[in-house]
Amino acid sequence: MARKSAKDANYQFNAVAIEDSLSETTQEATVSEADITAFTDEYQNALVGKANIATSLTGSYDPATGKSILTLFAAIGSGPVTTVFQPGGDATGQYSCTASGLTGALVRDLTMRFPVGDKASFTAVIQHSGATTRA
Amino acid sequence: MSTTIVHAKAADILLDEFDFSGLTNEVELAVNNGLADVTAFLDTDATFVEGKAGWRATVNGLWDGTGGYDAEMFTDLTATSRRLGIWPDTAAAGKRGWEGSTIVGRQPRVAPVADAVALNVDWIGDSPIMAAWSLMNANNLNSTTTGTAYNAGAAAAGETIVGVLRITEVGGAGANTLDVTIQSDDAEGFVSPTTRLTFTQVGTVVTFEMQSAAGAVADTWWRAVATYAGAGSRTYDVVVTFGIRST
Repeated sequence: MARKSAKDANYQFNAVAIEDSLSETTQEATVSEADITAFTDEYQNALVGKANIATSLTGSYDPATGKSILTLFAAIGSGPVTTVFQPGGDATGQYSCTASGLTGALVRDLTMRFPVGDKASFTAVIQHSGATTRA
Repeated sequence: MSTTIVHAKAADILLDEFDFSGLTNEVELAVNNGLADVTAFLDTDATFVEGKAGWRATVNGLWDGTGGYDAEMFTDLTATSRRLGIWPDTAAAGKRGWEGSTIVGRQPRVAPVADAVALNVDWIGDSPIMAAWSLMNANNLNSTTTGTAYNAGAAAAGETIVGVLRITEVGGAGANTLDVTIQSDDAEGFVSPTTRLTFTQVGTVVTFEMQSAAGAVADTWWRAVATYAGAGSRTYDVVVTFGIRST
């Protein structure tokens, strides 16, 4: 058993490593289950649906060229890209969403916040379209 | 590569020819890509395609009934194509920010008994927002000035170059004029610059103007040039921003 701190997590978007401005990454996998509970069932019952994976990013706003904000902004309207998520910071349990045809990752939304009393920050939701593989 | 984390304490909020940084204190800028779920029976996993992107900005601020902010917001409640500039790390020359054309969505005036009166405005983008460069930001400009060159990149065919000129203050007296252009070149030295955008000559009143032109432009270096002329002692507070956006 090798338990991991998230302190060294990596996230790569369209071949650009942007973990240097990220502080939290959540990969949400839902399977849109369908309830099929019938009168004769002893317990509730469900059928498995299609996997739907999205990754939420939270981080500090870095406006430099080649960094998180402009990299994510440039992907809006530009089609699917490849993402690589390494929660433990190494290749063990690495999740990849690879761009090909309708597959790959799309920016669902990008929200930036500029409060007078705090750092500039952002959140983004990266919607996986098609298969996500685990290495 | 090092990181450039920004504190938002000195953000500049520009609207048309007005600088409302002195009355605003929080901005949320949200860009939505309009994804559509296109998952079909044959697909193993959920599948999506991009739709039309949209954006909106919520600018929270402090209500000022006499300084022009409230009047400007309320009078132009239904005005279109208001040019909003959001500059998280100030709009000083060389900084990066966001520029876009907007309409007003809502603007609540909140007056709680134990707190400041707030005026919060939701701006809805009516054309693509762009990650812009500040090419020139000069106060009390009273001579011809050539701005620093910045590598803002080339514009591809199908993209649009956009320049925004804001004259936020005109001081002094006289018959002076200011002509502002945005030039490009293929090298930082600007040996053979090409004028890409030309703004209407500025005289004695504060003003703003957006100019645009279609790509492609292969040049990657951009700068602003302000030509001061005429007799008198007028001074100009000038902000020139530039960006390349999808058409």
